[in-house]
Amino acid sequence: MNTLFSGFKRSRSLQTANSDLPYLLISLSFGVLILSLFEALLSWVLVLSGCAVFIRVAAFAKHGSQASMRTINLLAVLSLFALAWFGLSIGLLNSMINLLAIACSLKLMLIQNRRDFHLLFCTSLFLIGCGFIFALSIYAWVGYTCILSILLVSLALYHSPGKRFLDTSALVATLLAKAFPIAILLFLVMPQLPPLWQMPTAKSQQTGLAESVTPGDIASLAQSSSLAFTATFDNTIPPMSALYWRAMTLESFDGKTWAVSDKRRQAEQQLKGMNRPSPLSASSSYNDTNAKAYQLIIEPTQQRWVFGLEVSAPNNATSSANVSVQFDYALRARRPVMGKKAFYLSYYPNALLTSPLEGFERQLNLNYPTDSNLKTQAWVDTLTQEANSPQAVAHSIMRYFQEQGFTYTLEPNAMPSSPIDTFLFTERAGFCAHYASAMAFALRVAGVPARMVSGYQGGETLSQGVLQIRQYNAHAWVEALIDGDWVRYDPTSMVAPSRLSIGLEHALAEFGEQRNKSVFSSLTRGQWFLNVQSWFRQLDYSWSKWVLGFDKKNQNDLLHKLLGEITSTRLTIILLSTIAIIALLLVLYFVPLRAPSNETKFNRLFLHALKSLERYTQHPRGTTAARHYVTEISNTLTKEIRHSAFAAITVYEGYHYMSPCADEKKKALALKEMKNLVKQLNTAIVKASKDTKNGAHHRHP
Amino acid sequence: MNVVRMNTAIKKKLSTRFLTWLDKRIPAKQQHTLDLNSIFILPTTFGWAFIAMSLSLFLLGTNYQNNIMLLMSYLLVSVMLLALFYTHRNMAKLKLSAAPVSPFHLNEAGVTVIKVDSNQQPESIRASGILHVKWIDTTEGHSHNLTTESPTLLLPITVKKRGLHRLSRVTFMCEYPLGLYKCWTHLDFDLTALVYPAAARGMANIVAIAHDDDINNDASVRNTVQGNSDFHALADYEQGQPLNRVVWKQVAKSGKWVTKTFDEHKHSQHYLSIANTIDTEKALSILTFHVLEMDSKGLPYGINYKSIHVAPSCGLQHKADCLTALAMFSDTNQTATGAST
Repeated sequence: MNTLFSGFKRSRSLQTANSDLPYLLISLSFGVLILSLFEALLSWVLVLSGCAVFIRVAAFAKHGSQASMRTINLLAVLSLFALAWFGLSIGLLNSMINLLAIACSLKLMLIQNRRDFHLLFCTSLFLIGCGFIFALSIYAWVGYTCILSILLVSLALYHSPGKRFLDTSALVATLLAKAFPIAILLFLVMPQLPPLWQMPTAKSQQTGLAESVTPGDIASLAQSSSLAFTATFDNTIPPMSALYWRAMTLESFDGKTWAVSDKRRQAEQQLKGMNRPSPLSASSSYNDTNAKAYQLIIEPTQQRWVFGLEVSAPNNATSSANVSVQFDYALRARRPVMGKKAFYLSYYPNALLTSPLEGFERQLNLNYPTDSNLKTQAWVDTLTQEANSPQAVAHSIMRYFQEQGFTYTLEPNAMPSSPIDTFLFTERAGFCAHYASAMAFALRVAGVPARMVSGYQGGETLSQGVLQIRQYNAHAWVEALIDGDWVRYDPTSMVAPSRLSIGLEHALAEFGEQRNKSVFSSLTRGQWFLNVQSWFRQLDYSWSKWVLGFDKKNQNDLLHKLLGEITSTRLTIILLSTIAIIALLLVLYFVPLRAPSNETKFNRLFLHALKSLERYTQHPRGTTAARHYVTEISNTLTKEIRHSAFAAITVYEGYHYMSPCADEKKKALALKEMKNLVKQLNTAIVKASKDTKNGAHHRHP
Repeated sequence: MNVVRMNTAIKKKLSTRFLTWLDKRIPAKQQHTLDLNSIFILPTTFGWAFIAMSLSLFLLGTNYQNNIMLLMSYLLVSVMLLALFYTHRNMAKLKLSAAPVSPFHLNEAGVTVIKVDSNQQPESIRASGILHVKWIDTTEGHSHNLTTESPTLLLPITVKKRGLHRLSRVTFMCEYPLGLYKCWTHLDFDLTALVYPAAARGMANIVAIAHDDDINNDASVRNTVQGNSDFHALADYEQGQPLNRVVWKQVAKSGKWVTKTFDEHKHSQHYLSIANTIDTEKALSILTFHVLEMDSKGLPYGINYKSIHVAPSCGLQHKADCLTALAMFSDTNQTATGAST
């Protein structure tokens, strides 16, 4: 049967006045799509797409011709060469998106037949998909759904030329509205599969943290207010001073840069392979009763870092499958965080970080390049002479920071050579990484194993129990191994205590700096703006929690709540009931309800009026025609009744002898008129009956 | 209009089994209202591509662990599902009927008039989109815009032979609203087309057989005979009589149409015939030509050729009878020997 149609030659699409409208719409939606992807696209690709859209719009306005095939081919070859040239530097994902955009633009310039149009539609759909890799907020979803609806409208217009634009858009709108419930149902019920294979990642991602820190790196983060992660606690949020979120430990120092030690990486792998129990369970102060459960929703980082509050461990068995505690007490996810992901953890506020491999860790954390920062080394020697314990050394270093007029700034001067010497004795101004680096180095020189820990500190309260931590909360601090336990020292607290207790913005304000120097900063401080901003953040948070964070665990919880235990029979029941619900929805949509047509309403009204006349006059109508009947009984009727009756009859006759193709409006008008006349008739009858009753009464005094 | 040709290759492809199955499922009727039995629906290539696209978005969403991509792919799947019902419902609104085909000559283009009867309804429940119409055994068809064009379709017929043809089924196809599904049906309107032979110039024998008087006995003959001789009387005008006989003055006076009848002194009744040596088809064409000529002159004529014997007469019905006889002529009585001629 299909072979018959494969050769079916469709005549050229019937050209009507608005036959160019679908092309215009599709090009506009393509333009908006490209704009939304501009961070991933190369500048010349953007220009090419802009030209394509411009050509299409010009063709619409002037009914001009399109570009020739030869031009398109030439452009195609040039673009491919250019993309091959640039492609290597921007990464696989971005080059694929650029290729798609180029193909789409070239196709847009020359649409010859149905196949081209459909091809354009499909590639636009795929571009929408790609857009979601970069933008995940609710606004992105709403925006892309609007683009999808415009695409569908253009497709509908293309396939039904001549239909009014409003009719077509109404059709598409109802179609989408009807599709949404089914989509949401599928989303809730379809199983969430794990990634089937590794996807290319975008190269230019703002990860926020890095596995090596050279003081001067983290200053750039403080400018970014993009969300890093959200933490939801059951009731109260721990105090600000306890909010240290651990990302990684940097134990290798070369004089300038702190980095994650390779030896640490190897050790972690070996220990994992040996299946040694998590360090927390070995810790002596591991106390279950104080544990506070909380949930993290981490923005995509393409890394496996999980920012646990010190000290945290996975909450339950399913969490343990996703997240594990490393031997340096940092948490790592089993798979890189490619999309917003939720983790369920428990926080042990009083737990001590006992070193699980003391010998190894001592050795690792006492290393320092002996030929760097000599002035500092000399200074530390003087300190150790006075101090009698590691704690005393640490305290004297901290006191040094406090007493020597150090300041906290996001824009310190560059310290290229002997950075710690420069920082400690010349500059005396920097941010957390400077302080942490200096202290850790000093401690190592003093013989106390110490390391820099990087992560986040603090956070902004969004609502009850919900904290939002942004990239500008990135922080670095020091840990020193004293008596077998890792003790935290945060030198920044000596200099800018408010940074830790109230937040970065306030700390900087104390020093007369602003985190974000922009034109709008005065605007953004207004109260109403903060309220609006807070409302939008709430919305975004709910979106993240319920839609983006809806992973396998949430789905299982939902099903668990609905049905109790999840067995295979229950799963088949769910599947069958989903199909049943979808079928029910389809029936609702497509089986027409028998609404009484206007015609039957009209007839009913008229017949009802005749019946009331019959009742009033006690004269049955039988099979007489209406006009004839009223003429018969007209002697017994009052003038008003007669008048409205005849008017009703005229309207009735006019309605039924109207042409069958008459305007809907005329019919509606006739119906309204009939309603009024019937009302009139009824009031006249009521009045007349009252009068006769009164008359009767009057006659019998 | 596109010329529709019967493609013998395609005709062979149409197995008789398929046709008999169709006959059972969609019996022949003069007017069809489409319903579940008569509508077939499948995704178009674009529809399949759409499904593939949703699937790839699903894969993309799963691999990037991106929930809103998954949501979008589910949305696309639901749109696809709903479009199925929309397309089907649109097609089911159609009421198609065909008028009987008027006979035509072989060299002319005949038409089937198909009426799409959904335009009577108010616009909101009218079928929309582009309806593609073609004969089941051809490839080329005719597109009809249901929204803007008139509700009457003219589908051309071209046949290769004269005679009575049972017309094949008509295929209607529509892809409204989104081009994702093609919805089609094969309808048999129970139509037969009578194709007269093409008229060809040539020599025919017009044998005049004189009739001796006694015309008075044959009253029916008198009424229909209209010769060129003396004016005899006025008679009421009958349908089909040539207009040059109408007495217009009388018409203007009284409003009644009358014609002049002439007395035919010599009633010569013409019989058309052709020698048997000439090829049958050619002979038939020549006879057709002469029938048309005699009719246009208003002369009575009959046919006397092989197995066709038609008594001389005049008028529209007589012309139709003659042409029908010529069209339906079949050579079966003759022994098939080349040598006999």
